[in-house]
Amino acid sequence: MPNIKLQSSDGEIFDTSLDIALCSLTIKTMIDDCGIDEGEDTVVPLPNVNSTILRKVLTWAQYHKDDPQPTEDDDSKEKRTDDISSWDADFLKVDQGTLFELILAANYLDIKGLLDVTCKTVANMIKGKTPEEIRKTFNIKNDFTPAEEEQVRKENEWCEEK
Amino acid sequence: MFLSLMDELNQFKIQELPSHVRENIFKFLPTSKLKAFSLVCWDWYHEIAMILKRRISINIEKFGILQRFQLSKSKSSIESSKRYYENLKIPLARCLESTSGYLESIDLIRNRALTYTNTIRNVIFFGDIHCADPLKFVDIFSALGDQIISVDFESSFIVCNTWDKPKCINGKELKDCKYIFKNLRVLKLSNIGLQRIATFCTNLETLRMCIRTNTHVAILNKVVLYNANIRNLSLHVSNSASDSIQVESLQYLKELELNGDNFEVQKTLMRLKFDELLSLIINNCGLENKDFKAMERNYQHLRTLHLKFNKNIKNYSQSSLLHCCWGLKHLKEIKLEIEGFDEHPFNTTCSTNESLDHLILGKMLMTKEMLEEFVKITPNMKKLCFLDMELDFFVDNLFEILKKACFIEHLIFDQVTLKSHMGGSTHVKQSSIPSLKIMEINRATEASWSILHSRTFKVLNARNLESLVVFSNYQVINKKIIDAIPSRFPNLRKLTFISPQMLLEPSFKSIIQKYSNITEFNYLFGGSGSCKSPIYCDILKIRVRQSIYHFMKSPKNFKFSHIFYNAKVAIKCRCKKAVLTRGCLWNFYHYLKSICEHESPPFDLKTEQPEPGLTKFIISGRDKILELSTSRWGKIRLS
Repeated sequence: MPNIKLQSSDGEIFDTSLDIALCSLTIKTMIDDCGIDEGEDTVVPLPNVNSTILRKVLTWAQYHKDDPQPTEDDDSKEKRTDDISSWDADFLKVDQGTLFELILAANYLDIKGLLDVTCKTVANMIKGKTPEEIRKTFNIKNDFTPAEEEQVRKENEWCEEK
Repeated sequence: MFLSLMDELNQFKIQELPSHVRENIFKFLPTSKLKAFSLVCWDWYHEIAMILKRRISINIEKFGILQRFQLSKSKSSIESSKRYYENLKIPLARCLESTSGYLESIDLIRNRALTYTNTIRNVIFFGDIHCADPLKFVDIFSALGDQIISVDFESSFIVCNTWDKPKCINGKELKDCKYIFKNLRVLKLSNIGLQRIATFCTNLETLRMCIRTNTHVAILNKVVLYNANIRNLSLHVSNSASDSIQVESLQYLKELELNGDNFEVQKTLMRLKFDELLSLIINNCGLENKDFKAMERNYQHLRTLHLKFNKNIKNYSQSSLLHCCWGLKHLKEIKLEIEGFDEHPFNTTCSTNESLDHLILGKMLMTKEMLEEFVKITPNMKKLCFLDMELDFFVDNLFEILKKACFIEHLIFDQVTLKSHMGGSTHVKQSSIPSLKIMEINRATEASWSILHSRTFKVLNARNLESLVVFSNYQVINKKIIDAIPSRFPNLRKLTFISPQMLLEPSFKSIIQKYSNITEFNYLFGGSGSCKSPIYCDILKIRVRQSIYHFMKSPKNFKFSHIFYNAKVAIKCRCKKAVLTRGCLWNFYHYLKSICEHESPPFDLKTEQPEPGLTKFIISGRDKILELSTSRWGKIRLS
């Protein structure tokens, strides 16, 4: 498989195998749309991903390059979060800021597998926490007035555990 | 300090993620917990509501397939295959979940049952149900166990053809039957088929049934025999059923509703004595004078009475009707719809009724004298509704008369017609109705609407009015209405605008700023362009209403994405229902545009026509881009 050059937002060039780069649907579309031929010395600019994150993304893609294509989501089903592989779990042992950047990169590059596993990791951080704990964890401002909060609490009353 | 700054920098900025990415995170959270997380902040509240709604709506989509799966002719008997029987439970339970609607679904989720079967309590069927053998329904209910307490064949059209064949339950005594639903309390059957299901019940409290033949009469009589606890009975009895209905043993009957054209049954029932009957509703009334007297005598405890007379029914006298109705001394609410009858109903003196406080008058041609009489004989009237009728007098006179109704709190005009000259004189004499708290001026013909509005807001002075609902036929809000608010209704708290289409000039912000007393503002509009009466469950209206309401409550914190997101979801929902038209889309575009103009736009709005017949709307917000394209009537593509 030929190589392709990817340029991060801070200008670093990553010379990577095309089959790894094609994990990203965004890159795939860019190549298809712009008609970049194999072997050409074209650089694909990725202005939304910095070099630190792009390096991590490519590491992830390298490890998962032989994974089957993910299927379309079935929104009616609850999805599991306990099926993160040990490699992915280790890979995602990063600070919150990096995790956030990885999610944004996975979203921008349209890499479903990476987006799902990062989102699962965040979901696991949310699970078991109270709303107040969640606000604290993610520095979310409570923008309910006490009356509104009471109203939402009332709305939820019937679905709370008894 | 340095460390905490570093912590902050490294903190996960979940609120800065695009909402669809955040949704992707929520997708990995269990449905049973999601609702609790909506307490985190407003953004989460909206997004989680959407996810829950979508999970449910997908279940609804599946319902059609599952229904066919369960009731397919090709499947062998349910009893013959235990495995099939077990498999059946889950999909059926899921389809029941979806048919029972949003709240019921959450109710199931609350109970954390993966195979929801143990939690099903209420079942509603709708849509066409094809079933070769209706006994399969009984099997299904039986499979679900004793936990079901309510089954409603709401608007189902049931196609079945073997119900009356001997292989079913004909000839079997109920006591020998293996299917007995002891716990079924509510059974509402649709107008076609399945009456025999009722014979499997022994503890019904609510029964709705259609009686078309004498076989159905026999079934009902048998059901009554085994279900002495029936409290609510709703019957649709056709003339083709001639045998006598025996329901006199229902001594706990509290509510009785009669439909259909079998007037003999209505007359017979008026001669029965139900000591506890509180509500009587007859939707195609064929009672005569002597029957009214029987009703007055036998149903003295009635609290609610609804009688609707169609225009071809004229074998009664209105004065006799009113005399008997007002003679029911415990009555609280009466609804009289009298079509095509112009006799003056107050030929004889009618006694006053002190308990009656809610009066709904429909279809009749109301004269000034009639209204005066109604006010006189109902001294404690609190709520008055004019429904689909003509008022044959000046609007000014209307309020003059209503001044005498000292306790009136709630006034409703729904589809009221006024003659064009009935506006009133140029001289304005104000009428003060201090007791009035709620007024609703609903849709009407354009001419009548115009008169009703212009005179009402000129002559009515209701200083204690708290809630005003105004229907607007026009594309802009009538400034006269708005200007009238501070002087005429200084204590108004809640203002609701209803419009058949989106108003092009939503100057809501200025309205709210001008009237600081208003704490709740609702704006409901129909998107289809048709002028139907407002349906409050309409998704689009509710979403936009919520957004605007939220905006009004905290304009400083308002993010365009709130309305934007909701509108997008609303359009998606509407597309599913295939009611969104091109015209509606244009209205939506104009609506957003007008909001842009009021709110120094944080987003860009443009249209493109990439090819003839294809229109593209591109709305790019601070954090979102909504692209709508339409190539054919009702076909919308979202991206």
